[in-house]
Amino acid sequence: MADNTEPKDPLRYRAYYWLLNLSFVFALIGLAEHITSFIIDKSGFGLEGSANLIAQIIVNIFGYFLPFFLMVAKFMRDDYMEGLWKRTVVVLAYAVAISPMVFVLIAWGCELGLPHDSAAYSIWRKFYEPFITPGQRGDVIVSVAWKDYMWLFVFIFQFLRWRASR
Amino acid sequence: MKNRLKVLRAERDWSQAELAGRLDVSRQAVNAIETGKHDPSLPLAFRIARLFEMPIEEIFHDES
Repeated sequence: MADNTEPKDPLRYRAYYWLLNLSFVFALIGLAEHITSFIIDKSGFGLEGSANLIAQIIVNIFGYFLPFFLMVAKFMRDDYMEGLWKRTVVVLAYAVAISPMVFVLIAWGCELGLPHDSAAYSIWRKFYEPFITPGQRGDVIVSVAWKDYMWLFVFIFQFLRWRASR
Repeated sequence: MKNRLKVLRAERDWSQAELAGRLDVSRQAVNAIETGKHDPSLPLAFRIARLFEMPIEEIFHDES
């Protein structure tokens, strides 16, 4: 009997897309948690005790460490994915270069444009204060920046992949 | 960059997945090259040329 089944791509290539999709979902969850923690002033995932801790660990593994692994896992990318990766890294480099200027513009915009007794201003200050507080621990700032770059890598890669598929 | 990959593949009655397997890339890579969405790297272009036993310039054409 003839075998009419189409040959599948090597597992490592398929796994790269699966893992990228997985990290995308968890990056969205992490981002949502990050945003809501500023708005409702409560961090976590609405769970209690160790369940919340476990959820945090899972989100950290799949939302931050998995993108880092995908960033360096060249052996899992073929020529096309490598092209997408290079374009992603180029956009990421621009984002890294421009982000301090955007941050300053947003800071000035919020400080001058938002009424200082508004809820939006208090949310903004909650986000901004770690960056301007004297004696703020450097590792906290670095870890926030690292998380942001991991998110950016996943979001840019997924966007370019989506755009290329159209 | 334009290319004749789809024609060459059709002449050999290969599916995209089959060609991808021969080149050790994903089917998406073959599809992206055929539709002009991705220009292959030089090593992959050489692999394609070797597979079809043709010079690279007979497969890929610079649009300019």
